[in-house]
Amino acid sequence: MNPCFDSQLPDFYHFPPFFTVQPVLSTREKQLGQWRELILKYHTDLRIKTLVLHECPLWKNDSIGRELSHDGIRIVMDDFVRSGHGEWEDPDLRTRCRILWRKPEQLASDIYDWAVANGKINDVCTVYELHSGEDVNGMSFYGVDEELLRRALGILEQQGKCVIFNGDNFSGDGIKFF
Amino acid sequence: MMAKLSPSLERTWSCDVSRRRRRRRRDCCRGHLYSWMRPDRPIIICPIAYISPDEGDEPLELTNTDGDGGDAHPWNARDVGLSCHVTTHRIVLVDERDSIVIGGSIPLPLVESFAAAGGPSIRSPLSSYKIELNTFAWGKLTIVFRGGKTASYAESKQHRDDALAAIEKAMAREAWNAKERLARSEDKRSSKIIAGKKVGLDRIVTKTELHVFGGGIDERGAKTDPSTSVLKWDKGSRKKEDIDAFLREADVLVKIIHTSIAKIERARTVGSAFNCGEKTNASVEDTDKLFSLLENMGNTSALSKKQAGSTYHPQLARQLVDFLRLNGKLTKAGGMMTLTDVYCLFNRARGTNMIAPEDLLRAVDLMKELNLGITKRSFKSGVLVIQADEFDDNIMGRKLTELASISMEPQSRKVSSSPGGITVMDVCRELKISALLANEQLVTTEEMGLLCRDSTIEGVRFFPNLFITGDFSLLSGIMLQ
Repeated sequence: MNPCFDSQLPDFYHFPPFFTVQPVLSTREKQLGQWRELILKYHTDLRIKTLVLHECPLWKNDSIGRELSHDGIRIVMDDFVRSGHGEWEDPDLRTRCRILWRKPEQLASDIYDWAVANGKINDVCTVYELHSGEDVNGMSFYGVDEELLRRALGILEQQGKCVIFNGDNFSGDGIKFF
Repeated sequence: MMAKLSPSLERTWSCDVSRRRRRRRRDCCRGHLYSWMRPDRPIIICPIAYISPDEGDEPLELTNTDGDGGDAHPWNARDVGLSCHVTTHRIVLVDERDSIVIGGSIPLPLVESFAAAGGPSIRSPLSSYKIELNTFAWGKLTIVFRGGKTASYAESKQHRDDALAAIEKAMAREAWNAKERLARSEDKRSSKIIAGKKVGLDRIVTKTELHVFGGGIDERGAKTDPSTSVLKWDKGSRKKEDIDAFLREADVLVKIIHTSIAKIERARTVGSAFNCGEKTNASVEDTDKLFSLLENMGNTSALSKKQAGSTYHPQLARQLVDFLRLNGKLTKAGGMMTLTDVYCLFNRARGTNMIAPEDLLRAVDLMKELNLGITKRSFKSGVLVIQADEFDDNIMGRKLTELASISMEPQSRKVSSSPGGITVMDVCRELKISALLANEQLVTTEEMGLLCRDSTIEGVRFFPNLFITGDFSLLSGIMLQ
């Protein structure tokens, strides 16, 4: 496990029953909710865009000697995707999951707020600037997946808060905020 | 030939060809004599096998008309005036006379083949109808159905055909092997095992029920498909044999059951015909007696599901409750006991005159109606227990949660690396109850949301449900590693 994350591991990560999918439904709901939080937090904090199922270190906790079984992993991931925090890159095989650090709607509002705060209204900036520019450093959408950004911008467009100009590639696209 | 066949096994088709005149008595009683009792007339039967080799192909003719007087011919010469009867085991030829009747028989196991013969042909338009038999013992025999004074030509054809049909049926059935066959198939029947748990008449009824109506294993060792029950006649003659076997076995039994049911019904309708309270005492007593008699014989399937008139089970229920409350047996056990435990304890206490498992089941079912303070409870996993009314799941739940919480404290764990939590064995030890009960109660508490489980290859441990309480302070004990 990534050492800088270790200290942030939640309490329930050390609770042995956490690694057994509970049969009682009410308990299971709570448990799955905690798993969702954990996965999201881990990937968001460490800025990991994709979860590869068999490489994720979260499933195992060596300090208490417990790990989530394959069936358990399936259940947790299905619930995660269903809740909208992730998407399968390969829906048939289900081995890679794109983590949506923030929901597209949230990203959209974040971007707009930043645009307002930095006086970018009626100004044009490229997509590249948005996810990797110097101004953006520290914002939630810094380093965000392009696909995600595209969606967020799509939402903004729908809301009428920006318009997208096509450039050479997606990174070169220009965005004008209103 | 010496084998004496009891009349009940042997069935006779009435192929009674015409009677004819008496003949003078012949000295034909050579060889073995045995009597075959018919209800009305005793007859003496002697074997027919007197064909001597030098007679060559001369067939044994037994004709219907009165023929030549004949004197001291042996039986196997041309005997006339006989009636031919075909039974399940042999062909019997009977010569009737005034006070004594003489008959001879050809056992069917010895008959190799049979064929119709005779009948009108070009050369002899009035040739008699015959049956030709090939036997193992006596070579060829012919039975001639001659038309004449006692029966017309056409009628004799009918007689011959009837006789032939009867012989065919008997040969196909091979009733002389039936017992062996039945014995063989008996051993393979799974219905026996199922029925083995029942008692008395009930056992026989269940056995035949399972055998005939499906769920059994037939002679070939294949599973009988209940949908092709033996009662479907078009499924081939093989099933007819099963049905015959069933009928034979259950005949007497079914009669008894039907008569008893009929009696009960009649008494009931008679009783109910008189409007409430006006029943004749005698009839009510009789039906009660009948019920208790049937119950004693184990014939519970003849009764309706409802307890009608018997007081045995309610009494037993009361006895059980008294027994359990005595010395606080039930409370010592924690207010809950499995039925097997109750059964063992009760029968051990009784010593003799022990109760059957079915009696216990029924008595326990009645306990609720009788308001005795103890009731049956069945868990999702199928375990049956009885439970005192004072028993409360919540109390048990709290107890278990406490145990689980204590287990998580660092000082209570014997080995520092153990994760805490309680197992079935821990609960058994603490609460002094059996493992089965402990498991059930842990699961029940889990379903109430007070415990959560941690399942590994080592087994299942139960922890207090910190998911719901949200309080992970207890975990600090574990995390200090």
